[in-house]
Amino acid sequence: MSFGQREFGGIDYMTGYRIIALLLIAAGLTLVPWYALQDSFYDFKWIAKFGGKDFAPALIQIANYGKVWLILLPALLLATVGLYARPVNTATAVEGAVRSWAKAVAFIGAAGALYILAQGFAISSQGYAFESLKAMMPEISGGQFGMGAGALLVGIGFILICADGIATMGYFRGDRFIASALLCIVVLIVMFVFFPVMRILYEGILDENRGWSITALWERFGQRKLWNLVPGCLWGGSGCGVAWNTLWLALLCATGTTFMGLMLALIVTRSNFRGKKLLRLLTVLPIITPPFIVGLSLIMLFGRAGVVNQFLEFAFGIPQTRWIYGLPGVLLAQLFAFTPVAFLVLIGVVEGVSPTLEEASQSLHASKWQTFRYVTLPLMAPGLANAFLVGFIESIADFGNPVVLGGNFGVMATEIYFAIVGAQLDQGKAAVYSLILLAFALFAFWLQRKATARKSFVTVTGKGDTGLPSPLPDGVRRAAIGVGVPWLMLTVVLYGMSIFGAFVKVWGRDNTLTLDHFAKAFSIDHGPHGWLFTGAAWHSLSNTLQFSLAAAPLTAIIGILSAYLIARTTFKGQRAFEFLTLLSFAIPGTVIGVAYIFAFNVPPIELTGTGLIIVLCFVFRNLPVGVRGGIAALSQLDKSLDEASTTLGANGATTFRRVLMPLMKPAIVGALIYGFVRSMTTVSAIVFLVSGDTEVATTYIIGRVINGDYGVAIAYCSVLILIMVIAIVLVQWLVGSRKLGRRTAIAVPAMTPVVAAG
Amino acid sequence: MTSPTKGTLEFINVVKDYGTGEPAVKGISFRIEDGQLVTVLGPSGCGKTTTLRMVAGLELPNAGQILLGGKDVTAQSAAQRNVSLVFQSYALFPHMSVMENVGYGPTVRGTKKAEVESKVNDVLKLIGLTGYEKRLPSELSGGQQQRVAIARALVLEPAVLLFDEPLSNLDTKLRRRVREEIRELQQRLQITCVYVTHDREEAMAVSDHIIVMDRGSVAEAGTPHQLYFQPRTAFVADFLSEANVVKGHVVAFENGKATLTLGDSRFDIAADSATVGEAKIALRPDVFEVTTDATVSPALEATVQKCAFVGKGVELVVDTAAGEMFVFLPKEKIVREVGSKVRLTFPADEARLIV
Repeated sequence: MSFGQREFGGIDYMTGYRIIALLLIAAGLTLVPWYALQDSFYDFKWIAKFGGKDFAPALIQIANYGKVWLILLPALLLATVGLYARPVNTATAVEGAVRSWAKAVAFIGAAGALYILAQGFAISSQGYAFESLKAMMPEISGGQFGMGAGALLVGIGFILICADGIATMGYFRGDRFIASALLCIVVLIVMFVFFPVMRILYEGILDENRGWSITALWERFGQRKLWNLVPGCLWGGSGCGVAWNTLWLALLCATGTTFMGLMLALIVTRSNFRGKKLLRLLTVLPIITPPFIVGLSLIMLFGRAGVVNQFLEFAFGIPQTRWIYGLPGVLLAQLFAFTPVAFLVLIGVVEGVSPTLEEASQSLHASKWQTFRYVTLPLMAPGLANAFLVGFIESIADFGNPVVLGGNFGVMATEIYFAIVGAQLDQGKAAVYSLILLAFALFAFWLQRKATARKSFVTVTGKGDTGLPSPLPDGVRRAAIGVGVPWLMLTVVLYGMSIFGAFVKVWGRDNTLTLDHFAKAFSIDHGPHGWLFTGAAWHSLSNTLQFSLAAAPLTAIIGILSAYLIARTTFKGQRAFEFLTLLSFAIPGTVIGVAYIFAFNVPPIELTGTGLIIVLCFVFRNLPVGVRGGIAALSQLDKSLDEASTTLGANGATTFRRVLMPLMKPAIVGALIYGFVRSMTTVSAIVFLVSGDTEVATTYIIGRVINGDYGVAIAYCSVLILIMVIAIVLVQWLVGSRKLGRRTAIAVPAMTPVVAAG
Repeated sequence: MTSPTKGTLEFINVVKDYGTGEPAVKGISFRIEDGQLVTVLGPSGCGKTTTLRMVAGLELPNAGQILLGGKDVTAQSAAQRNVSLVFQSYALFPHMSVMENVGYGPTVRGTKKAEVESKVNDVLKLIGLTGYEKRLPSELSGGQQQRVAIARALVLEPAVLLFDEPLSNLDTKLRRRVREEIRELQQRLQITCVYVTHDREEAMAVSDHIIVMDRGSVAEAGTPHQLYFQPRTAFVADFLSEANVVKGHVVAFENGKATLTLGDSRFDIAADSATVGEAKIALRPDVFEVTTDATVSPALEATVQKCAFVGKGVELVVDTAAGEMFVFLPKEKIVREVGSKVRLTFPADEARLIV
């Protein structure tokens, strides 16, 4: 045999892996600060103060500053080195010796990683965090703050060692890459999705004195404000419980969007309507639209100073009303915002109905209406259920529209917001509201999964289905056109107005054209010290861009890697892993935001106020789409490609990089674009997480909206849309799609059907 | 048995169970000598592809041992094993040129670029694809794609080369040519090959040895000649030569000659061993002669049920006292009438006692 395993300067892959893991731990213990720094890590000012109390690495913390409990970590490192120095010789070892050696390695790795977390939770800034520990454990002096770079490196190192042990035990076909990728992703998801959500529950149980109390939970849960039921609930009247408001709005919204989405899908696929292309184009708009645009445009149109009201007063003397603020306005805004989502779900379903079946029905003497009623519609039923539940989840998670148009009509998402940022900070209330919202969402998610898991009737064979889709029955066609045309016109008007609104002084009162709003937000002055970005929006815009640009590639990497683990490897608990990666789709943004505050406001992981927490929030909110896109892309690649690579001597990492990644380019582009665009437009999840330093575009816009400064808000929105369009074009052009000699791949489909809850 | 060399492959009681009811492979053992081309033959679902994948290391057995060149490789992963697989779908990387595809193995194993290129050029020359280095797989014909797949496997100089139904994606005309090419290449390189197929003609044409599998077990193994002419099991007799398997009664056995009754007649047939009593006899369709001469003896009385002229001969289905039989008469031109009475005879050394 003339080829060995891949070698780097005489070191094989396995040894290299182990050396990297050990070096990570060693560096984490000796070279970088163990605890989180008050200032930025990246300005490297800590190097000058190296060894100081707040800046010392773990070893010095142990020796000089009484952090004796950290001593276990270097001890575990030495134990690992000891094991690695004496590996079991596979040729001569007795049976089971290798396995028990590997078990020891895995155990030490797991112990190291878990101990870092455990000590972080057990010892807070005032010493032991729990009374029971004080009694059991030796006395310690002082406490500790949030963990920092050192802890991160050591943690990663121990996870890699644990993965090495697991792989050596023979799991994952002995592939270290797969083992460590899986372990890292699981740890990340548990830390940044599962743990924060659990923290909400914990917070809900605490009473005012921060003691455990189930009655506190029960009291908050049973509030009249939540569950009060009066007839007025039906039209959004006052006195109705917030939970009922949310549910009723969601049901109306889901019904409406499903109906309109179906009508639009029928127009596009089954009619010769001329505006088809425009219709398809408009359906992309909501994805790149910041969440307030629709609401703001509706106010301009139907608000007190809106065009319609002014016209009515001018022409017929009808007094201006405020009907738009409340249930009707919010519902209208949601219908406009989420119908395209339903449309994207349903267009695939409608296209998937095999024309042959309809032709069969007609040849059996069924009329057009009978064919539609008894063949087409039942075939689409699972898709309709899916669209309905997507609409439901979108609605209960929506924050932007209710905050703009809600008025006195409160929904859960806005109530949570005001419980956190309002006059009386009520964490318990926010926690319980979040839990109820989460329960609604998970229930809908569960229903959705059940509905889609049912055997789908959709019959896409790829080719050979030569029949013609049967024309729509007249009644259905008229209904579809009757819904579609007004929708189309209103959407054009709404977006047109929003652009117009950016260029007038005060909408409805002073319609003089002006560039003032843009100047206020984006002015650049030339001063004595050079160019100055004096516009009020530059700071938040630059933050938004930085965070989104950081989050997009992370989303793509973790998402595609998770997809690879789900679709291309087999391990116990794979279903659970898949569920975990898709879980955050069902968590409304507001809930995730609240959860992050509760979870990361205190040591051991103290992230509030940093840009990192916003980036993490983006990544884990957008992860499910990356995962789904990746799974879809992988299912189109024959598994024998991986196997060919493996038999030719490539390990998991090489196969992933050289074979799968190049072939998954469209999915990767999709994940990148989606990650970027969603990050740019997210508001509900991060509205609590931003600080003065880390303010982003959407939160800045919210501030302007609340102050009634609509001009600047809309001007800013239009700039955001422009940036996103440029970014999409740029990514497509940069990454491109390599010619495979057959069809050229289409880049965007991965992002279409799943527009996660705002 | 000779001592194992580089390409000797041995299975010892290998079991593969996916946990879906019956095991896919139920404890099989065989040994393949260095430099031989051995076919694993069987109907779909018999476990032949699972066996091949276990050789490649793509599946790990639940029990048993796999020895390659005398060394235990049971626990080795596919990347560690010195074997290459030519996939049924070829599994060429669509985004890589012929050069990159064939050079993939050496490259990921850390060979220097110049060396990779010279190796690839050598193999492409061997396989007759020089000049196609820059092409993408989609720009090649089916036959060329397969040659690239073989070149990609060969470039690593594997101890064993595996083929998973290599002809199934080619049209009928190409099949004969490609299988001859594979056999010719194998003989030239003196490389051990394991070849999986469900086509018995293909198997007999290319193999030194055939391993016939049935429902997860090895039914029989031997040279094509042995299995065709001297099957030991009803399954192999039926699968390889469509032999008629009928019940008879052995009444005596001595000096390599068994006397048995078949229907009302008594025949002497060649046999290595036999026990007196019930027995199964395999009779290939092409061993019979048909006559209407009542004086020929011993002979089996038969009634024609179906008769068809198929060009290269006549096929008959007849009813006898021993059961229904399928008879093929090469060179025969006369189509017999349904219901007519005939007498069947066969040479003593063409009937086989089987288990």
